[in-house]
Parts: sequence; C-alpha cells; structure tokens
Amino acid sequence: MEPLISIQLFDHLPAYRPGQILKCDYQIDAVEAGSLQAVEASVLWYTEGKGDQDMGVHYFERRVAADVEDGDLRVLRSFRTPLPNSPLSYAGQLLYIHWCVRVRIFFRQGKEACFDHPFRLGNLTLRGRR
Amino acid sequence: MVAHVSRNWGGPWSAVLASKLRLWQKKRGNRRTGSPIVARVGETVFFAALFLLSATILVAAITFRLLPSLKPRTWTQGQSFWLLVFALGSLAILSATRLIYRLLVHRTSAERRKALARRASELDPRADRGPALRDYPTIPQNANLVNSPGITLAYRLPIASSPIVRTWISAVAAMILSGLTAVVAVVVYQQFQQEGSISWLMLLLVLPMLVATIWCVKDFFYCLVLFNSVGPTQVEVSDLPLIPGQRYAVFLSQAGQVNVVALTMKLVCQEEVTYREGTDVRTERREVAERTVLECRDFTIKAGIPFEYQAEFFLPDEAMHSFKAPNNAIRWQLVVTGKYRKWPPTQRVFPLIVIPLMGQVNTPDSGESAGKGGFTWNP
Repeated sequence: MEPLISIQLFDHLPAYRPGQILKCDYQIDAVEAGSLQAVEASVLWYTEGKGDQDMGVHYFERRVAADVEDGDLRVLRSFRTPLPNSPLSYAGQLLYIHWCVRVRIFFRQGKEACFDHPFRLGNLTLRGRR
Repeated sequence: MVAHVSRNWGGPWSAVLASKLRLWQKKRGNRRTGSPIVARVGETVFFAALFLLSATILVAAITFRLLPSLKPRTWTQGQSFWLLVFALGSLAILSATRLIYRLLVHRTSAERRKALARRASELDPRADRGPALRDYPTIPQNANLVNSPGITLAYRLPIASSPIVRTWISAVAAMILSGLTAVVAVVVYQQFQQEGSISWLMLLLVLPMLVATIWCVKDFFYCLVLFNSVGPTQVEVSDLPLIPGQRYAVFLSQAGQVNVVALTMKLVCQEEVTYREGTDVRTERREVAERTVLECRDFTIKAGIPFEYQAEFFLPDEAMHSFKAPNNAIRWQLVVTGKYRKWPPTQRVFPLIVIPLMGQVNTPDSGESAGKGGFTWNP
C-alpha cells in the first residue's frame, strides 16, 4: 500500500508575499508506525524549462524516530518559516521558477516517497512577448 | 485563515520504486529513466573494485621495490617504477574520492545536500556578500555596477563586452596566426630552394593558414578603425539596484567621429538557460521583455564633441527581478545599438540589477490562471 502524505498550507492563496510567514502542517498516513526511518520537510524553489534544473532550499528539517517521543514519525507536525525576498515565482519563456513544500519519507527497507505542495511567492504576472 | 490540504492519493512515489530493470536507458541531461538504486549500487561497486585493485597493485609494487626478497618470480617490473606509482596512485585517489562521496550521499536527499551546502556557504567567512543584496538570494551582486560614480547621474555602468577587449583579442589572434604562417612559409620556401619543388601537402597547409591570417589581420584593423571612429559609449543611471514601479533617469554619451543613421537604447530582459545534450553543453538566450528608452536619428558626432542625451524609463510593477543560478539566469540590461552611414552596426550592452518590489500585495488575479504570452509593456 502506498503511503499518504498530507500537506496543509495556510494563507497561501493566491500567493505569499516575500517576508510573509509560511505555516505548514504535514502528516503521514497509511504506513505502519515503525516502518519509517526518517521524514524530511523542506521549503524550496526549483527551475523548470529548457535549461538544466536548479534548486535552492530555503527551509529544511529532518526528523528520525529518536527525535519523536514515542518514535512515531507519522503524527501531525507543524513548522513556520519566514519566506525570503527572492526568487519570486516566475513563468517565462525558457524558464519557470516554482516554489513548493516537499515532504520526503524514508522507509527502513530502503524505499523513499515524496510529495510536493506547490505555492506562489510574489504576484508577478509579466510574461514574455513571443 | 485560508488553508489548503494536498494529499498524494495514489501519489507520486519517487523514482526509487522503478519496477523494471531496463538494459537500455535514456539520458536527458541529469535525468535518467533507469532505477537510481541500481545506478548507485553499480557506481559504488565499480569504484570500490577499482580502488581495491589499484591500491593492491600499488602496495605490492612499493613493497617489492623496498623488499626485493619478497618479490615472487612471476612479478616482472620494467624501468618505469615511478610512472606506475603515479598512474596507480592517481587511480586509487580518484576511485577512493568517488567511493567516499557515494557512501556519504547514500540515502541523502537532494534537498538535504542543498541545505547542508547552503549552511556551509553561510558559515564561510570568505564568501563576500554585498550589503545591499544580502537579503536577496539568487540575485547577483551589484558591487561592480556601483563602484564607478557617474558625472551626470549617480552611477556609470560597466560595459558587458568592451570593444577594447574585442580589439585586443583580434590583435593577439592576428599576431599568433601571422607568426605560425610565417614559419610554415619559410619552411616551404626553403624546401623549394633545396628541392626545386613544393610538396602538395605543405601547399595545402600553408594556403588556408594564409587566408586565415589575412582575415585576422583585416579583422584587427577593422576593429581598430571602428573603435576610433565610433568611439566609446558611456551610460549612467540615477540609481541602483533598480526596483519595479520606479522611474529612473539614464544618460547616454557616445563619442567618435561618425555619421549616425540611428542610435537606440533599449531596456531588455533576457532569459538565459544552459542545458546538456549528450556531452554538449548548450546555452540559449531569449529576450522576453523590451522597451525603447531613447531613439535618435540622422545626426553627426564630431571629434571631441560627444553626443549626449538624457532620458527616463519606467520599470513596471510586474517586472521580474534579476536571477542567477548555475544553469538559469534572468538578466536586465541596457542595450545601445548604433547604425552608421559608413560603418556596420554596433551593439553595446550594459548590465543592470533589478530587485523585487517589497510589500507586494496579494491580488486575486495573480496565480496560475494567468495565461501565457501577452507582453504587458507599452514601448
């Protein structure tokens, strides 16, 4: 059975402003309690388009079973982080810049699963003319 | 408070869970279609085996050199002992480095590696971050742009590709090629004097070199005359870095001795991407936004009296800021293009830095619903 990763963002529509606090909850379901080795949550931007991908991590946390009281990494977890001033979300002609919250889980038997929750930073609407 | 939940119902497992082992795989830049687990294991085993092999032979070679009594009869070694040590040592270091890296990044996500690299760079005291742009990640520093004060306005902009550098490159190329051609020509002449004939091979070599030399020398003189006739271009702006929604003054000074058909300055936003196709690295640039700042037609620039013009431009609220990452970039620049009566056109580029407008408000129409295309500036 595939794991269920839930990510909840607050006040992110239609877009976050630079410097605004991002508040995020995430939770993992449909997996056994002891099967998770580590859970990583990150707030990051990445590029998409014709060029090779670039990525920048703004916020990162990694939790292993020892970090949690009863060793259960599935329970609801919250974090807050002020968003940076740049780069803003952008949709150009050769290049797109996307922001997302990514939760990646590592199983004890070596498998991984991850899930992204996209959001926009800034409200740029300028597009290319061709 | 508005909240939104995303769940990966039947969601995207990472590529680690690739079900089939494929013999033939496609490679698209960094992306591969095969199983990353197999790739990681294969790479680790390969470098471990290479390290073991090279280290074992290296240790054996050194031991037998120091203690010849231990050397078995089957061991034969030539005179090139140090060459062997160098080759095996290099191989051992290379494979050990790669093996250690592979073991360190085992089960380490790309995000974790990036976060560690970022933290390391923040701790690095040598990393020079300009005070103005410390709070703007991925925006290039403007230290080189603001260190030269202008005469009329606050800052004189540096030129991206100077005609002086172009002239120098042309001069060096012409000198090197002339020297080489002269040497080959002398050899051919001596052969002709001694044997009374010239070999076709030498003739085939010297003729293209002669043509290339003539072209380089011509290009050098062309650059020299063009530089002296058109003269240097100076651009000054009233403030830096630029902020969307603001109006800026710009000053253009064009020296030289030339009849100008048209002199144009444009504010240009350019996207630049770098990508790999097989073993080739390609770069593509595209202008995605453009606004004419000034355009002057049919006038003459006289020696000692440069053409000077001051104008204003407005940077729209929705303009994207400058952006620089290893493979992708967004550049803002002022491009001065000249068309002349007797000379070919020139284009000189002056880079700018744009930072985002602070306190951008959330607007209902922003977001993914905005369509593609449709440039919003009015020239």
